[in-house]
Amino acid sequence: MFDFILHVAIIAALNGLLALSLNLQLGYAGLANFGQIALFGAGAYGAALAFSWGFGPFAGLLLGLALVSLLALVFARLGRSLGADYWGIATLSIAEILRTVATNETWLTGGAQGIGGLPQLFGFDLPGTLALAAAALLATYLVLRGVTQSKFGLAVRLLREEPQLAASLGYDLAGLRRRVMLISGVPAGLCGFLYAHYVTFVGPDQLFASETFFIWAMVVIGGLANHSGAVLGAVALQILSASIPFAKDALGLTSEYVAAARLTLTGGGLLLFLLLRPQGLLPERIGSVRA
Amino acid sequence: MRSSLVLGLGLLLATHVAAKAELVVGAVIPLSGASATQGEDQRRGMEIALEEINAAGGVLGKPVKLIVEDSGGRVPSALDAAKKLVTVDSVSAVIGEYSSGITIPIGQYLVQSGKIHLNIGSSSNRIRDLGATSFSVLGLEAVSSKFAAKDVVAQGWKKIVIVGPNNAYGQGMASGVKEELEKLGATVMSTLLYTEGQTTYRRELQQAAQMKPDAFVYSAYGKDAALMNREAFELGINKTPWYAIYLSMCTADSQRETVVGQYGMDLNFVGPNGKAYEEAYRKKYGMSFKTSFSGYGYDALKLLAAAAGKAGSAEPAKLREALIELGKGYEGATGTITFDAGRQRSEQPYLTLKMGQNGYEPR
Amino acid sequence: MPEPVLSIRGLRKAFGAHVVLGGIDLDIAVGSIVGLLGPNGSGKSTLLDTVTGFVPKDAGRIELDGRAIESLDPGAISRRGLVRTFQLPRMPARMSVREVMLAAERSGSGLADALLGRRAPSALAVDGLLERLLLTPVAEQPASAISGGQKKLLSIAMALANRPRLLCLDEPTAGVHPNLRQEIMALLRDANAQGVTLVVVEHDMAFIRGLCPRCVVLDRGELIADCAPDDLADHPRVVEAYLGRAGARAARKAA
Repeated sequence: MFDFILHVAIIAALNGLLALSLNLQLGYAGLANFGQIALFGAGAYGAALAFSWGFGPFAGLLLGLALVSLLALVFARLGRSLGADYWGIATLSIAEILRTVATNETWLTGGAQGIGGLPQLFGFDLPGTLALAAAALLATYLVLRGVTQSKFGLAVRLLREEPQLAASLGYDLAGLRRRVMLISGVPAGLCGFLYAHYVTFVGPDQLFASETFFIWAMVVIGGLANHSGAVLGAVALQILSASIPFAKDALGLTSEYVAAARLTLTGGGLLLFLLLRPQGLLPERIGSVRA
Repeated sequence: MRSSLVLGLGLLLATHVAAKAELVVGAVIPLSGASATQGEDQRRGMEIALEEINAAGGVLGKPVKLIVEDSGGRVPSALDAAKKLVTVDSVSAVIGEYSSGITIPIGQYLVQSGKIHLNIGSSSNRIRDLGATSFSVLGLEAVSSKFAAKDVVAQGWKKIVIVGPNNAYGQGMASGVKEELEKLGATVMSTLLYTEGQTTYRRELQQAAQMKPDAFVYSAYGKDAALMNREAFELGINKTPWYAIYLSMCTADSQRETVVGQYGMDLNFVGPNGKAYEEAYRKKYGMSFKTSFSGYGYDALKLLAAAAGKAGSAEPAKLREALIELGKGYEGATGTITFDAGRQRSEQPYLTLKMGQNGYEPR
Repeated sequence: MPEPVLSIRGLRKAFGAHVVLGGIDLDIAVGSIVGLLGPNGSGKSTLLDTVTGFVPKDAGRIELDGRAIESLDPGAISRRGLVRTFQLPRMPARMSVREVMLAAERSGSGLADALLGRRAPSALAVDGLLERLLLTPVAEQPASAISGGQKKLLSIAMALANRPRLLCLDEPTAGVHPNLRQEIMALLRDANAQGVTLVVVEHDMAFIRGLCPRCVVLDRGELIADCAPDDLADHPRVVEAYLGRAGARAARKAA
């Protein structure tokens, strides 16, 4: 049981990275990224490709960060001429294209069968992996909080709320978007890298658009534009999600209920919060930047 | 005084050992998501096996316990499920999954944890490298491709177009079949990997037809298969022979008239164990096999029960030895099961079939 | 005049068949305060929007301090020193008044500053400014929740935060309580004294007379007058523009 709890904690921490990343884009900058899973994929495939070419995990980390930064810039560039709604669709499309490329280019990515056998970063040591994931989460939390509680954070919020006003004050909107995407790409790519080495396998099935949906649920339920909210959303959803099979056992239900329960939890939860409490569990603290 | 203490301790030890002697098996299969149909069928096989085993008194003096978890068709949920089964439910073995993209990571975890892993659905050759406690009840791609290719060439067809879904199964099948066909001197003009879940496949079918092959070699399942067969029929493309890998699976949901005349191969359910299993399935579920995968689920659980009985223990290390022993020749529903040195199924009896008006019949 | 801070030649803009600006030529002298008047629909707002880059123009040349700016985006034009305010200022709903005021000055708002923990020195000055604008009581409220007049005041103060070369104001006193108008005028006079050139689009003649030594008048997309505010009443075309031909005749009869 203890090992299972450690596993749940590791996944919760890794999901927290994804939630913090999306929260910066969506909550603080108003960038509705529907292709978030692709940023995760860039990190994961960076790790996998480096491994398949015979390099060690450090090279995998560098490659993953390079790929995620490139993708973040592509996403930012899209935003220049597209309105917010269309940007969301464009990011979704790009994510799907990348998943298709990963599925088809067998010579590079192993195709649908993916790349397996990646070494685990602490042997098979769960506490070590948890420490690493938790450290990454804490570092990301502190850095992102520092970024949003600064004048730069004010500029980003202005971009979200009144872009015309921001432009009239001389802010470079495209530059702000670029920086937001680059900064939020790092934790997402890092998550992909750590996950790849934890699960020891990377495949295109991990990049379906439905995965982005789970991350959105974490951020909306946890609380948009609140870093603690994002982490809370990720942790809460992972704990609840992992508890479902236990509930099934305790209530004597069959396994079909697990899928239904999962969907109710994330989909139902997302809808419920959007309708009844859009600010999430931990709302945004307006006026918190003293600079 | 001392003797009663020894007796007491001995009894305690005995009950402790006896408590551990129950065989608990886990299964991680897709009960939701894209492969839900196959996963459900895998479960059906396991349930029939479970009923038979426990009706005959179970194993090690107790009923066998089977805990089925839904992988959701995703690596994260599959891993959560596998970890729960191992660290909380204390299973000795886990059966699963269907997609190689999921079987590989959970298989690796199971091997690392020293538990038995039984693959019943993935045919990727990567499965071979999972580790010392991983077994495949299903023949990997090499086995089915070899047989199919030989059968295809035997019909006199030289120019082939391969059709399959663009996922781990389809990609593996296509590359395996292509390799075997080319070894036998046939030419694969084109490989068509279709995206699943489309509302029409006309474009893909017409593209394939333009090549004017001697035959189409295909494998598909679910609604996609039914749709493709129907559209091929409507476009008249089925005038060129179609050869199905796992004929029953490819035609399970298709209208009979759209598939009459198709050639194919499938698992051998006509042997004594196979027949009994088919009858049990029909009796319990009121229909013929939904996919070709239920039999493997059945065989996997039956094998584990047999291994536990043989070893007199549910401990993974002992189970492993017993499985290897049994793997010298075990009569399963899917035919005689033999494991090669890498614990992968080395032989798989198949049937050569043709689709008639009343269902498939042997050739 | 010596090199003007803003120089416009042949500015044209049409929305479909409707010509809003029919070829405007205008120079604004450094350090001056110019009023821009005209009846509704004369093209004042469009002139402002095209010059500051918020609406693309059809033809014409616009130079700021001798450098062409007609192909730049509004952010870039603002960075060059040409800032504008909006007729109906929209303020963020999820930022406090104080945060918005802090965000006005761009210096120290870079990502490097944030990552290196460099704090901007302007925080204290912001509190003083809010005090002067009588916005201290609402400093912690969402900026969208304050009154229209307060928003106007805030937006003007913000526009001045980056020390623009030229500030174009779009109806700065529209919808503002008379008491606040004096404060706005004071704010603008102070800014001008520190070297900011001002172009003020307005309807309030008292405000114009009090602030602008020079007025230009727009009517149906053309500049029809360029004089001191006191001379406007005698300018025949101006009178006609505001009162129409019949009204102008009536006014002449009454005079």
